[in-house]
Amino acid sequence: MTEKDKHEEPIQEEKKTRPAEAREAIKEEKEPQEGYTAEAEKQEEMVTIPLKSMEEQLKEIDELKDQVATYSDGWKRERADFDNYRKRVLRDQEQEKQNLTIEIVKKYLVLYDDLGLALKNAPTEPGTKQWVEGIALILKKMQKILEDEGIEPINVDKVDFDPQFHEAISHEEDPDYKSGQIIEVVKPGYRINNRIIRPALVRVAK
Amino acid sequence: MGKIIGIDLGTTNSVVAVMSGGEPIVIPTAEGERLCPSVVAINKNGERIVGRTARNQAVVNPENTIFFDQALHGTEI
Repeated sequence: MTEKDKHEEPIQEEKKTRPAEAREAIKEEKEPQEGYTAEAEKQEEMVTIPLKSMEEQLKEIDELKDQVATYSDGWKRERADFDNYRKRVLRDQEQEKQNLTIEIVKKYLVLYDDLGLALKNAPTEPGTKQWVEGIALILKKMQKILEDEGIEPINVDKVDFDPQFHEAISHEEDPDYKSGQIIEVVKPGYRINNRIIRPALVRVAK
Repeated sequence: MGKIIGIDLGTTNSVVAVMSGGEPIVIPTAEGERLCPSVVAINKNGERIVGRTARNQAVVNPENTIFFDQALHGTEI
């Protein structure tokens, strides 16, 4: 009988005996081994297992492998989803910031336009010049604030009607203009980083 | 796994949302708006235009602009 076979027997017996005895058997077996060299440990690794439990264990290994595959696949998917989510959140934050700017600026643009209109129809009576200049300065200040926020007026000078930037409110015959040209800007439009805050309201020639 | 999207074709505006993390997220238009005007048009170059751009040119190009199309859904033209 080899060393290996000797080890085989007690373990097979353990299975048959009651748990309490089995524990004792293990204890007995382990105790003398304590303090042994690496060689003894090597022998312990070579223990054989009954065929039935071996099959069960192999089956269990297969099941566990399947589970690992399922879980790691799920984990990878979640990881990718999370990465996308993080990127989206960052992008959304940027977008939301711009949306807020647009939302607020839109309200003040109405005032800005009105102020511009008021200046166009400035009183010409003597003594009002200084006051008009004051209004012009306020308008300039406001323009500066808008520029700092990255807001710029939509160009309507000598350009053809472009639905991306202009909104047509009328389409009329005009001998001075070619078809598709802008006759007049009723309300100026504004943009921020290529996003349209408000299209310019224009009259278009037929 | 495929994504689920929902499309609301409204009378004046349409919205598209995608299910993401169990929540519907509205997909903004190329112009950055959440709502897209329910307007389709074909310009004089034969290009298809949709949404805000299509609405902006509706007055100039009424023959080739379709809006309020919801009433026409499911009918023959």
